[in-house]
Amino acid sequence: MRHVLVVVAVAAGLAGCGGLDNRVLSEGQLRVAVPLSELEAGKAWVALPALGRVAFLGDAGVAAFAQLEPGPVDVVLLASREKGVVLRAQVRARETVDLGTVALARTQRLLVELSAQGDPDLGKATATLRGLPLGDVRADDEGEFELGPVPPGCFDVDLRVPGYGELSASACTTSDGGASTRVALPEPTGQVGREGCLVTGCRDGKRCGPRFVCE
Amino acid sequence: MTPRAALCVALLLALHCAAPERLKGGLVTVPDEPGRRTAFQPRRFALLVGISATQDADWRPLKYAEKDVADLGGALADPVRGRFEVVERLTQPAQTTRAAILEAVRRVAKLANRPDDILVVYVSAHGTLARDQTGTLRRYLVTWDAKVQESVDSALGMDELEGALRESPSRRRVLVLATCHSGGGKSRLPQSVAVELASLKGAQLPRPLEEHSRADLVLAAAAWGEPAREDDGLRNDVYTHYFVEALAGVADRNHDGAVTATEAHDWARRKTWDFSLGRQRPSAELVEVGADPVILSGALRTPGDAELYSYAARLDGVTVKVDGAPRLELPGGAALAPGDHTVELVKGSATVFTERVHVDVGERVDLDALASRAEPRFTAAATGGAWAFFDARQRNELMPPSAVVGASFRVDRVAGERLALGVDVAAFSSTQRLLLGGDSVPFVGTSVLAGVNAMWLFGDAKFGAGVGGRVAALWLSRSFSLMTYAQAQSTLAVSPGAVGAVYWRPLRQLEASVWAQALVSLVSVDGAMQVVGFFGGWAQLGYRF
Repeated sequence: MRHVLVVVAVAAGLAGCGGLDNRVLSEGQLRVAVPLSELEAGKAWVALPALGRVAFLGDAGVAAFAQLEPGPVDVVLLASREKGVVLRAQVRARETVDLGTVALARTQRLLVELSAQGDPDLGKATATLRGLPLGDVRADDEGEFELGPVPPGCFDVDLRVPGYGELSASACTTSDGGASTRVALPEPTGQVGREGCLVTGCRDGKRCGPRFVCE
Repeated sequence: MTPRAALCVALLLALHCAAPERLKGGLVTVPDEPGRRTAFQPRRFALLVGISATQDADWRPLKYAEKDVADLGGALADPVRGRFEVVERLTQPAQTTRAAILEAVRRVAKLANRPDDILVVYVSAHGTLARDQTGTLRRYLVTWDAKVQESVDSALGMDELEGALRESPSRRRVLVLATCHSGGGKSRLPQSVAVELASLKGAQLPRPLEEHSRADLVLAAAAWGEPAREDDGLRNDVYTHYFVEALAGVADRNHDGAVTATEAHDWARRKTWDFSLGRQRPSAELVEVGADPVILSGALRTPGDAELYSYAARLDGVTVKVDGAPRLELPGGAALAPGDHTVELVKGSATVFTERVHVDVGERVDLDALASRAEPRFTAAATGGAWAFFDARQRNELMPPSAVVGASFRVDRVAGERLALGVDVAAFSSTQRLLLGGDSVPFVGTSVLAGVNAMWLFGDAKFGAGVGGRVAALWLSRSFSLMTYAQAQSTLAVSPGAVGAVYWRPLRQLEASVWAQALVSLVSVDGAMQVVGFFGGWAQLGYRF
């Protein structure tokens, strides 16, 4: 019994307590500031879409991100509904990269248009700008979305279309703000989530045909 | 009733119960009937075996084996000095067969059935060595019926002889081997007896210690592998001649009136050594606690002079100096006057031990025990050294080689002469750097290493070494003050391993040593358990007390 206790004690000791962590020693920080004159306090934010991290800007107009893996990272900043910018920063280990006070550009709307065979009712489709704190946007009856405002740049859009499933697309703003990104929906198969017009219904008096397409 | 009053009443009752006029609890007067006084006195028995010739003509006859028995028997049976009640002599062919000797030893062993009885078995004969059925080399006594080619089956094994002797309840058994190749006998006291007598040694004893000490002795005419010799001039086995001479009283070195077995052996040993010009070295193996209780000749008249003695193998060849003058070469004993003396043990040109010793009348001082007691047992030391992970990556990324300073404490002779137990703790904190991805990352590193070790020490009083096992607790702490990370991390792990050391003692109470350790442990790194091995070394300077 005594030997067993000794073995248990040694084993418990071997397991040790506490630990050493080198991962935290490779991480970096990112700091960004917005001119106070451009700041719409309470609504301004900075996002790192690829990492799903968002920081809202307070009255000081400064935001910081810690524990970032070294490497390039896209930064989306929205100072107000009218001004924002998309930047690419380089995170370095054990350093704080200060982007300083960045120059802002005028924001734009991002237009995305769904297209599908037949003429299904896509009014229940929703879209989200991935990693940005803008919430879901519902399509109009024509299957078109107006997303934003966002700074000029390209963004990943997550789409959820009842009857057609989930899909994503990349959409970019244009200088004139008029062009939209067209996303073609895949053909329905009748399987769960891909029932096509059985779920969406049809517009303009059409009927849902045997291939789940409005006819 | 107060506690004090209750105590007084209890004491009065106790004194009342012990009053001499009441038989219950008192002393009882025993009539001094004839025979009662001698009924429990120790008796002396001797069985003397002399084998001059053997059935197998290949054994060369011995000239003086029968005379050895006759001379020794005469000395032991002498009514004035030896006073042995029974002295049985076996010299005839029918008496000296293997079976007859064993039967005789067992018979005498049964006669000596009191613990204080003295039982002496003496053999003057050829001895031989042979491998038994298991291939082990054993000693044999060449009996009348022993055959040269069949020694294992026909001769009497010494182990068998000693076994028969041990059947006696006596605790004062002496086996004297005047044979060739006769130095390897074994005998030991039961542990319980040794403890009992060790406790008696320091007490005030009303009787001479010799009357109730117990001992087993094997006295041999020659060391292992050496031939014992007969001599035509002496007309005896050389050792036996001087052994018999000793019993006449000349060997009573402490002048107490009695010649004990060790006194007789020491006398015969020195004389034999001188006579043979150092070619024959009689040896003794004994377990003796307290005084030598085996009186072979004479009777205790006085407590006698004090004696210094040792038969410990580790002190063989050591010269004993008393008050600066050489008195004795160990093994053996020497008498000295009661009082204070400076006792030195000298080996070659080095003094192993020096101490001022006070001896009383009749006191026997075991030099081996004295030297062991005087040798410092504890060592407290200051230590300084370093440790590092075996793996280069772990040295770069977890903790670089680290210096440590601390203290240690060791207890020697924990169990036996060689085993030592030690504890130590060492720590240090300094600014260090990790090498991560080519970058140098500064931090304040602290390591604490606390361990216990059990070591087997080899060496002498001056130089030595030790190896053993070790279990250490390793606590590591890294404190970072980076722009991006300002926290401390720590881990604690128990690490078993091994340790070794070499030491040098320039002074008796000063020890310098160098230690090395190798340990293994499990440490949580980046959330996963990782095996880490580490090694270290340190030097220490210790005070022994």
